[in-house]
Amino acid sequence: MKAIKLIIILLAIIKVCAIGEERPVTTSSSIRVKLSSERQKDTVAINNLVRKGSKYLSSMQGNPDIVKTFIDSAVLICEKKKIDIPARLHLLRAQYYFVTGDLRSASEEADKALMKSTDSGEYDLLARTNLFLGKYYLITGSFAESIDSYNNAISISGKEKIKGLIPLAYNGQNDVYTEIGDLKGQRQSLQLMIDAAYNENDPVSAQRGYLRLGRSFLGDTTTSAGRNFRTADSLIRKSMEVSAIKIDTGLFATSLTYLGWNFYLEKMYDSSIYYFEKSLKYTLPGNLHGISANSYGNLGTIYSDLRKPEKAIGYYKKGIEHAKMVSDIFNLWWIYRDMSYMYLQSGDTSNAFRNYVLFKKYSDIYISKGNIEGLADAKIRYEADAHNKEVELLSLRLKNNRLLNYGFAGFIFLISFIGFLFFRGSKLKDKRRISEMNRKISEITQANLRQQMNPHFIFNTLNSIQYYMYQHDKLATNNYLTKFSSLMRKVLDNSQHTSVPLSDELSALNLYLELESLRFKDKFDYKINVDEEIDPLMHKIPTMLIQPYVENSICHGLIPMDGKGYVNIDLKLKDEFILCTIEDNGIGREAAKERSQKREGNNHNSLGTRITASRLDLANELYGTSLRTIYTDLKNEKGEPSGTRVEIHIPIIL
Amino acid sequence: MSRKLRTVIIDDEQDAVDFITSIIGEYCSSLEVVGKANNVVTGVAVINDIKPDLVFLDVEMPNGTGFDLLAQFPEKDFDVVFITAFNHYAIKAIKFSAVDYILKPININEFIDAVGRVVKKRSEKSTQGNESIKALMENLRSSFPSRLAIPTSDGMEYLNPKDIIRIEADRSYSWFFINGNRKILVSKHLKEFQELLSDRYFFRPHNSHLINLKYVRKYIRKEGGNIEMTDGSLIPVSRNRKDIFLAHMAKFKG
Repeated sequence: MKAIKLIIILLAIIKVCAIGEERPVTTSSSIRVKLSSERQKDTVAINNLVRKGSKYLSSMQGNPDIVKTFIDSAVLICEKKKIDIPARLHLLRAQYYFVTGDLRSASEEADKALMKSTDSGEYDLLARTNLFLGKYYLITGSFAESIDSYNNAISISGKEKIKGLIPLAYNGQNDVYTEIGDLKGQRQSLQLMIDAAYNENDPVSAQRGYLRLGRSFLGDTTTSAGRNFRTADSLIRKSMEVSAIKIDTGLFATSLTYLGWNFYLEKMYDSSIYYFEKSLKYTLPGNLHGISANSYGNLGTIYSDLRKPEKAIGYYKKGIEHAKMVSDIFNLWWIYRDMSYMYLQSGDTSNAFRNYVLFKKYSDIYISKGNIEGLADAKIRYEADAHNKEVELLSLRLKNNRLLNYGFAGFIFLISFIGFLFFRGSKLKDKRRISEMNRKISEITQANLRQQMNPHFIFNTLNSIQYYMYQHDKLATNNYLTKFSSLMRKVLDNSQHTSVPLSDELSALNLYLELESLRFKDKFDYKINVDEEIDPLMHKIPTMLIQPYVENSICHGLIPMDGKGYVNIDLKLKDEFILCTIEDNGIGREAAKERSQKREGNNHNSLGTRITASRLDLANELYGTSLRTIYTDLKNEKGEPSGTRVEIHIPIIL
Repeated sequence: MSRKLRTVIIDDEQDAVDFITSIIGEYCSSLEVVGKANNVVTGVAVINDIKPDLVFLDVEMPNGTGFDLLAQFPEKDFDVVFITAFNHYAIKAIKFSAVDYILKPININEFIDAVGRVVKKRSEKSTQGNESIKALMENLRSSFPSRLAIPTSDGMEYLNPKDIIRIEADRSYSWFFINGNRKILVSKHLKEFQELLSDRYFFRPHNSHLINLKYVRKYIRKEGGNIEMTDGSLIPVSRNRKDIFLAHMAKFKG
């Protein structure tokens, strides 16, 4: 195609030249006209490619590779025709890199887009680039910069009367405030978003704004910070009023589920049921399975609260069915959890277990998904930090140069300004750190709960109970069963807190040891020794820290050995921590490792202690301590392995 | 051995009723099951009809709880042992009121122990009395139970934890120092009260002292640290509990 085009152009030039011998002046100008129209055609082509690329990106379907082909063709045209890459192409490239995770390139492209659109006066693009930067900074954790970028987008759009961007920018600011847990900022930005949406006659944004504002008053429990039943109710209703103007079924149905949830928290079950059912009327025909699953699950929980288990189960099952259609892990996760809880309440422990296992399965998927995202997050933050440091250095150098010119007064002003910036920055950074840590804490506690309720242990214990039943030993069966239920009760209780009094932790550990020693008759003795200085009711420690180590000692050290062993747990109060020493006379770590490698090829069994170790790291970060775990391989006089000693430094939580 | 204690079992689950009946038949020769019920309404009727000595009462039942049932016997003359499946808010109130309870699934040994306590009390002619149930009803009403039962030389006394300035251990006894210059000796270990009170505004700065943070006047740094209470008493602070005490004080508001 291109060759043909070239030949035609060449022919045309030859022809013009041939005629041109007679009228030389006009020819050159006609060539110029031809060239500039060619250029216009190229620009249109580039713009078309960019538009198509953005469309693909924003619809979020398919893979970003398609976008890449659009970008490459556009760049090719620019290079061939020696056109400077336009701002809109830079922006598209930035968005593309952002989606594919190459954040450094994304920020470089965005900078170019920023510069070029300022130069060319394309304010629409400038605003859009700022909008993009808002999102970029939020992801990289630079919250102050994110807010600033969104503000830029808003002020440019306001000045140049650009429609459609201001509500998006306020929405973005709301995301930032949500991330740092600033409820006031959240609500303020949403109110501004709604106002802007009305100004621009944009009902969808207004609707979304009201819905999110309503959500902020909803909370997850009646005691959630900022919960206000009435305000939430009226805001969500406003959102529905607006959506009556322009129907967005998904948003409308979501509003209905929020209303239902709001009533549920107030225990007004009739109204709650009404709204969840109404939401289903919209979502079922529209195949909005995620929202349907949520409504069904909530209806299940309402009926479970109303003590109508048959009805509840029916709804739960439907909820699960819909959630599975769209692999909605979150809804599966909590529906199984609620179902297990219902069975537990009605005393149907076997079904409670079954659902508990499923709940754990999905919560694990949910958590590991979060973990992977978290990992990507950390990487992004690291890269962004490195980049920011470079920029900081450069800007400091620049400022130093100016310093000589402006003299001492300028210096003072600069220092105080930098100080102010640092102060603001560090405040935001602290908030970010705290919210990040809270997330980590809840994740790790959850992972640890799963570890504590090691399925192996649960089912083996049940098996032993069955054995005693079969032996017609009523008292032993009863004793075993009630011990097991006490342990479950304790574990469920303890796992609701990040820290518990040592006494609670020890009574769970004691029950665990009792059950294990019952199960492996005469296989080992155990002793828990608590230093007199420790007040187990007052000294609080992170939940479920010791048990995984003890389980390790028993399962990998004592069970494989010949003859009877022991595990001793000793707790001593040190200045800033409790020293917990777990000592066994088992086969030792070397032999245990060999055994597990022989059996499974890898040592996945150390998962429990790995989680615990990461929790110690977290405690160190939180409380500024330097606690650790020390393993010692014990040897007898002949130098043969004779057990393992683990010393854990457990932080005392004030 | 005098006559057997006439016993009624009230639980909405027939399995539980049957199980308790068979444990009593097998292990508790001092009891005799004379009535059973599966809900509050028939439970009230059975009690009125039979006039039992002892009632095993499930806390959670559909159409009314065990507490609702008790509310209908303001002048009751039988002992109650609660049976409950969940370690929830009611347990705290039950513990505060020193009423007996058993958790489900029932541990047979614990059951036998609880029966032993009732039989002993009966033989000493000190019936549980209505006071403890009244205290329980009151404690159920708020999330912070307001009446703590303490056994004294002449029966039970019910104290509002707010009025306790401090408790001091005296070997296995405890001295209660109460607002208004009163002092009671209780034959229970300090630890048992600490278990009930430590999640409130009570703190144990020293092995032999449990103090109410409301009555702390000041903290004296000298000589290893002492706490001056509003009644003028000086409480030593153990070296390793100083930081925890200060942290608690910082968190404590009114």
